[in-house]
Formats: sequence, structure tokens, C-alpha cells
Amino acid sequence: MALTFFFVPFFLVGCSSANEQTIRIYNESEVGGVRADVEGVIAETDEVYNGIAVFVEDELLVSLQVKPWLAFKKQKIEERLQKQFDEQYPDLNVLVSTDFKLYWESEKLLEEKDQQKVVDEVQKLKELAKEET
Amino acid sequence: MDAEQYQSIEQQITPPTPYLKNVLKAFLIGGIICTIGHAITYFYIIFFDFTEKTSGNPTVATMVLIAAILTGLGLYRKLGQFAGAGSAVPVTGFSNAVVSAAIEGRTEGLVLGVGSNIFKLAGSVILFGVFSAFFVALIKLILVSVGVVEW
Repeated sequence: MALTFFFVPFFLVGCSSANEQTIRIYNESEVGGVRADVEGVIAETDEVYNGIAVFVEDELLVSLQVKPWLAFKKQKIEERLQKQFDEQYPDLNVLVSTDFKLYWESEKLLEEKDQQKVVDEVQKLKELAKEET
Repeated sequence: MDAEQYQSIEQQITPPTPYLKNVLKAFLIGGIICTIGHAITYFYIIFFDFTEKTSGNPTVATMVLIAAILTGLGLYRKLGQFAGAGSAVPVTGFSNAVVSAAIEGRTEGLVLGVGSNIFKLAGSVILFGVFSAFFVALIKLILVSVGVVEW
């Protein structure tokens, strides 16, 4: 019985802040008007609960966090959005990723002031995302 | 006493197996082991240059190392007695099977003892793992070449 009560808080934690979606954007790119577009596209994707888009020079890194119960759809969401952004911004190097590593690092980039550092970091992350082993 | 009588007496005396309790124990301990594994995955993702795709290998290596040390100290046996399948099914159980077999063969020397005993239990896991992986890959290859699925 005591054990049951011990686990109650863990189940209740799942109920909090259920339907909020946060989208943050780092925008140092010259391309105007794209900010709202990206925000809209991410907001339309129901499976995603957190999104960060980093615009810098000609790079665009979109890192997303997919809802835990829909994690099996990760790859499909990635492919769909990648295609969509590629068509939308043919002059940008776009990478859409649902990987936690990329999300974690992009979150840090939001605070970064030095633009060159952000460019380097984004390029490093794109390299990292290609690695298979 | 004939065989039937013996069986009925035996069934009366044997205490009932606490299935539900065993399942709960295995669920809890197995879950805790997997939670630790997941924490290690996040450790590698956050502090090193590993992505979700690549962090699996160092995580497995770390879990195997931890379980090997626990086996050597004799602690994994106690955990196994309590949790049963919960401690045998995760990769830590595999590590335990390798290390305990190696310890068992230690007295017979390094080559004929440790060398020949180390995969006594885990050998079949490796054999059938490789075997089934080969066949799954073969089926997928056929499906891809026919055009049913993509890679």
C-alpha cells in the first residue's frame, strides 16, 4: 500500500503542463520574414512539444523534441519537415533533427552573442548528426 | 506408492510460486536498471560529443563494466536472487553470465579454464544473436529489393 502511494507523485507529474508548446528562435540571418514561417510550421506539427530554430548566415538548424508517446514517428517527422524547409528555403543549408543532443546544444546557442561561434557550433552539430557509430 | 500418488503428494507439499510478486520485483529492478542506463545515455549526450544515435555503444559498455565489477564483488548474485529476470534480461545479465563463468573457470588455468569457460553461458546468446541479426537483415534486403519497404 505504501508503495502505491510512493508512486502516485510520479504518475501525477505526467499531468502537468501537458499541452504547451515552446518555440524559440535565434535569428541573426539576413533573410527577412522567415522567422514567422518557421515558427508557424513548427506550431502546426502536433507531435512536437519543443522546438528551437537557429538562423545564422546561410545555416538553419531546426531541433525538435517529439512527444514521448510519439517517439516512433521521429524519423518520419524529420523527413517531412526537412523536405518542407528545403523547398521553402532553397538558399539555406537546412537541417531538421529530433535528436536530444542537437536540441541541448541549440538551447545553449540561444544565449550566445558571438555570431562566429554560433556558425562554428552549428556546422559542428551538423557534422555530428551525420555520424552513425 | 505409484507415480500418481507421488505427484499429488509432491504438489501438496511444494509451496506455490509467487508469480505476481516475482513479476513485480522483476519489473521494478529491471526498470531501475534501465533508468540507470538511460541516465548514462544522457550523461554521454550532455557531456560528450555523442548523439542519441551514437550514445548507445558507450552506454552498453558502461553498463557491462558496472555489472562485471558487481559480479566480481559478489553483489550481482544477490540482486539476481531478488529480482530474477529483472536482472537477467538487460545487458547487465549478459555481463554477469560472462564474468561469473570466467571466475568459475579460474582454478583450471588461464587458457583451459577462463578461456574455454568464459562464453559457456553467453556463447549461445552471441551465436543466436548473430544468427537472427543475419536473417533479419536478409529478410529486409529481400523486401527492399522487391520494393516493399525502404532502408
